[in-house]
Amino acid sequence: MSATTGQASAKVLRLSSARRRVRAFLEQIEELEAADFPHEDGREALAKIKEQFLIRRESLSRLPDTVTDDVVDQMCANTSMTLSKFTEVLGFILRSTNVRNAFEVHFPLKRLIQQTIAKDAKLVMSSEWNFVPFTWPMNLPLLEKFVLVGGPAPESSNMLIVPLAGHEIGHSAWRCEEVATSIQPGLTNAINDVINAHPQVRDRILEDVRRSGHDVSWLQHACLAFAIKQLEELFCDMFGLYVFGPAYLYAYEYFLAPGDKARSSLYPSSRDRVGYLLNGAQALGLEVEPDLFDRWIDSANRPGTSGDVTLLADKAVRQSFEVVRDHAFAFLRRANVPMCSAEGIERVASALSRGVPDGEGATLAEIVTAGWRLLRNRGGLSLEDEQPEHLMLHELMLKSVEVSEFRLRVANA
Amino acid sequence: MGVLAHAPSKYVLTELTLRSMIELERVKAGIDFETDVLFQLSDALLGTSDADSSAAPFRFVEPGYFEPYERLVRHADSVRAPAIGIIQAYIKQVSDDLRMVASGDPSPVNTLIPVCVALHQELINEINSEDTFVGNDWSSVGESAPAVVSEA
Repeated sequence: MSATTGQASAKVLRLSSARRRVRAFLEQIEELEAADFPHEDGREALAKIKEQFLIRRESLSRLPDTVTDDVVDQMCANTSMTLSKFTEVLGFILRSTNVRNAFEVHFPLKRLIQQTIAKDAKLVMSSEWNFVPFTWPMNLPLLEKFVLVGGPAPESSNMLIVPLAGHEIGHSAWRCEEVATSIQPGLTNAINDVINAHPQVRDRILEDVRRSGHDVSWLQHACLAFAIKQLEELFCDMFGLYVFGPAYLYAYEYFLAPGDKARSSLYPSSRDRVGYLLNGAQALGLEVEPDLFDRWIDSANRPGTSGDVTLLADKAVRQSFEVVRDHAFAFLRRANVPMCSAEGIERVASALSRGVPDGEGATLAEIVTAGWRLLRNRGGLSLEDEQPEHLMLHELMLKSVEVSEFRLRVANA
Repeated sequence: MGVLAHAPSKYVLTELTLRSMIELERVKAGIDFETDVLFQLSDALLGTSDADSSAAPFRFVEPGYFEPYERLVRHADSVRAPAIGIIQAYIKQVSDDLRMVASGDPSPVNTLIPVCVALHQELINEINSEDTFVGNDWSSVGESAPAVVSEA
């Protein structure tokens, strides 16, 4: 209490606010728990989050009366940040129950994550008001064994973009497989070589950063940070490519053509990235139309120091790419993840073109690849009078997935 | 040690730092405290700062931690831009001090609390500067340069 006014101090009131906010969050979870979940994974995610916020509530009660203002400030800042992030996650989990989602693909994708991430891994899929597919990083301690994949709401019934979920699951695989650890020695050597091989660029960067008191160590760390993130993205691309075959390339093209985005240092440039994809496809022996990425426009690098560091990181990535590519493929082979077979794709495509679902138990990847091939052979099916055919194609693909799931369960019964 | 093998995420490190602050406050107040979290933070600090550079041509800390640790050392020692060896030595000292308190010697507690406060603030800043959907950004449109470069 304030000695002069008798009122509680700002510190006490602020802590009280944090406690009330945590309580409101926990009450919200309890309300969400009453929803109908088509898959139990969403409900289990809620339980995990609840468990951790109960610990936080306990932490807030452990502060002694003598706690310093600085620690209270940090406690409140942390509570705000965590509530902010996990309010979004709660919304995601709630929307995963929406009937707009293609629930049929949950089971095959969950099998994929259990084969590659952990036997008890969980999957929560949702359609979101986001233009692009995304994942939440798996390293959130609150949801350690969960993979959260979101797709854009307008595309929620679009089976053809499912391959992009392969990329998202790849991010979890990257962490579980600790790929960064295994590539680190080679990558640091590549960075060192590249920095030494480009003395003009290096000196230009160092002249700039020395004004802030930095030295070559700063440059090495900046290159390492960019290159690791770029290689993670490429690992995820190789993951999606291996699992979904050509369908991954078609879905990628669908979302990102014709490239030409503002350059991010955390991703390879547009043209480099499709070049790496084609390299991966060739290594896997995939048949790809030679003009698939024709007229793909490159993303321009930033000017100045940021662009110079990215330039060096790009070169180190180029030296390390094949190691990462082979690591992804070897990892998936070890996990016994099948690649889609040409025969399977052919069989599904034949069924779909006859207006019937596949009844032989094709994989999700084979079904989606066949769907893409049919769509592309029919010129894209985007005209108004082609809408019924387009809708029928999607229905047949969904039905094929259901039939495969049924056959699998009967076989394992 | 293979730092990248078991290095915790920034989120985990932030949580450990926060919980350690609470326990350190309890040590200072002379009431019971939990030792586990202090040991965990001590290990996490080493795991993110003491990279196995035996096969590498230069010393480094876990990617993503150079900036917050570097600013932490600058904040503590008023060094303009500490060398990597100074950063690693400083974090090692903090790690050792945490272990000392957890083992029953409260003497470093008054210096550790402000260090944890500063570290926690740095980590919060780092996390808040990253997108929520860090796992992926297909479009990459309008992404700002990471702090590691924009600072220069």
